[in-house]
Amino acid sequence: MLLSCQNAAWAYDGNVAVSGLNFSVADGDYLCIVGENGSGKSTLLQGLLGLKTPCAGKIVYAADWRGTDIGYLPQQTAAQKDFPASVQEVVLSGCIGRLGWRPFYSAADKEAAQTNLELLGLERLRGRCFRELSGGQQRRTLLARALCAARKLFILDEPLSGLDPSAAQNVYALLKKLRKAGLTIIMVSHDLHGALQQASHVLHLQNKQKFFGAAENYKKWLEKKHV
Amino acid sequence: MFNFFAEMLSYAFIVRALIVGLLVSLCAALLGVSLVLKRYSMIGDGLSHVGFGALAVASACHAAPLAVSVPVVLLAAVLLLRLSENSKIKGDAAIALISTGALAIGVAVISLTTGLNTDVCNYLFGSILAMSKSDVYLSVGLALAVLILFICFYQKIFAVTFDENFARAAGVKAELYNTLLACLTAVTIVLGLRMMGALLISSLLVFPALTAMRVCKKFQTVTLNAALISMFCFLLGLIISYIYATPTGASVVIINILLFLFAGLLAWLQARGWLRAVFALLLLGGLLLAAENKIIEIKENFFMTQTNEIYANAPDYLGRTLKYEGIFSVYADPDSGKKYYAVIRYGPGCCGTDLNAGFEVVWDKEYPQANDWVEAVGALEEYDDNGIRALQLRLTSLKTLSVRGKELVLR
Repeated sequence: MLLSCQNAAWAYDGNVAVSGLNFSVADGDYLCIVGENGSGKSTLLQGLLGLKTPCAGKIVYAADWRGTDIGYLPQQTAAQKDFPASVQEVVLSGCIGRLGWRPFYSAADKEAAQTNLELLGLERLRGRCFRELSGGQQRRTLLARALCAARKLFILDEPLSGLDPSAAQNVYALLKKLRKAGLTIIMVSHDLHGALQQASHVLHLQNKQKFFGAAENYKKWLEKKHV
Repeated sequence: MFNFFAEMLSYAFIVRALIVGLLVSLCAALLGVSLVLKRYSMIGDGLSHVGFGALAVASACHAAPLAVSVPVVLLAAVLLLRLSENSKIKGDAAIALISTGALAIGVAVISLTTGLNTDVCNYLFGSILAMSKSDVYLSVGLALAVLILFICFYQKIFAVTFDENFARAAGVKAELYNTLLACLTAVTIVLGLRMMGALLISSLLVFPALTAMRVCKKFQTVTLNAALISMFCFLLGLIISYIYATPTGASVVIINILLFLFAGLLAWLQARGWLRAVFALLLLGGLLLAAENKIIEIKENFFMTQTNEIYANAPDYLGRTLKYEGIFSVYADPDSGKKYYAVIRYGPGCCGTDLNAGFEVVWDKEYPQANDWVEAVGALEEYDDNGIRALQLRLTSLKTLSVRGKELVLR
């Protein structure tokens, strides 16, 4: 087991955003978190990342857990739209968690950045300015950055929003490859159909935990709900 | 040029202003890039007003200005950050509250003690005379500390600036680096405050960063160029303020504005794909200009042809400098007795060498011996010789050479 929530709840601006969470994620799982807007998905992610402490209950992590092993793909911020940075710089900044007190990146960090640039087909764009890339290219750059950080767990916040279908397929193919390589994946997504094809587990939120279990059972649960 | 700088630097207060100003510009530009990108530009403005208030109180209490204002502004920086992260009062409103509050306190304290006088004007708009020797030592120390901290934490500052959430998820203490950034900014602002003025100091943070961002595409180059631009603008501003006796702060800001507009023009041309065309035109113009000023050297190989060309198209060559070697000759006009001097080579003729190629020369120094082999350099001019329009070279140099070249030239 990598982490488990035990009756955890998180508040946002004093209001409880999501509560009654009881689920666990094991090594190699692929958990998809679904739910409508405002159902507490992003708050939960912030909690899992350790950016927000739960207002009730707790998260229990595995014994060898290190916060710096998480790769995180956040939603894009407005400030990044006009940010002057090269693709190389952005991707390399994914190694920031391992920097410690050193002022500069090591050769190993640069190698990791190079590997991930190649994995996402960005070698030719490495010198380009981030703000001049297309939406899909920007997403791939941020994915490469997150991969630099992801040693164990990969957390994605709506990785597909704003991507065309073929770019979305590429992201899914990449996630499949990463999971084979042994990464655990937690993803918030609106794309139910695509997520169900790959995910091993599903967590359905509506400010409370409505469903948690294997993906096959989720389909049955959905059908039952509609009936 | 050298004399001018030597004279300027002979004033101790200008040397002090130069040292502190360059260091402050450097620090401000480095920090400014992150501040602008994080939408924190106004923090600089708020802090400068707090600095004004602190300076006013310090001078009222006859305390050392930097020793009082550095801690006060540091405190204000931390407070401003806390306020902008706390959502009860929005960031810009918090800055407005604190900056106007501090300004009000400063003005009240000054009017109660010394009264509103030129000192206040200097605080607001800056004065080049502001730096004492002890200020310089303290400023250099603090500025170096800002530089070293910035370089050590450059990667983290980049990560936190680009994406705070990601950096935090990766275990970087974003609040720590935000506070660090604000504190370094506070120190930089206090250091530059009295020279640039409370109302103008924040431009040092904003302008170089924006100018660099117009033309550069990497964070690293933006940061480096912002630093260079900032120091260049300060230097130029200081020189201008020295020559025209304008306030230093205002001069520096005006230079910054001009450079910002120029960078905007460059970026606009680049976006339209005309930048290369402009560079090509500049290059072409430069080459033409260089060719225009170049000395025309008449070589042995086409000596006849080239001298004939110059005689045939004399108007194109008037004023140009010619350089060639030949025999120094003297002729005396049998009728008037007037002496003509020339540097020539013998050309082909129908019976021997009755056609000489070369130019008549005038030289305001002593002429060499006739038939000496000389190198002549001079400007071509036209003169009126008793109704005949003739060409002559007004020499700038006439050297006698020991090795003689070809005296008879056939082409």
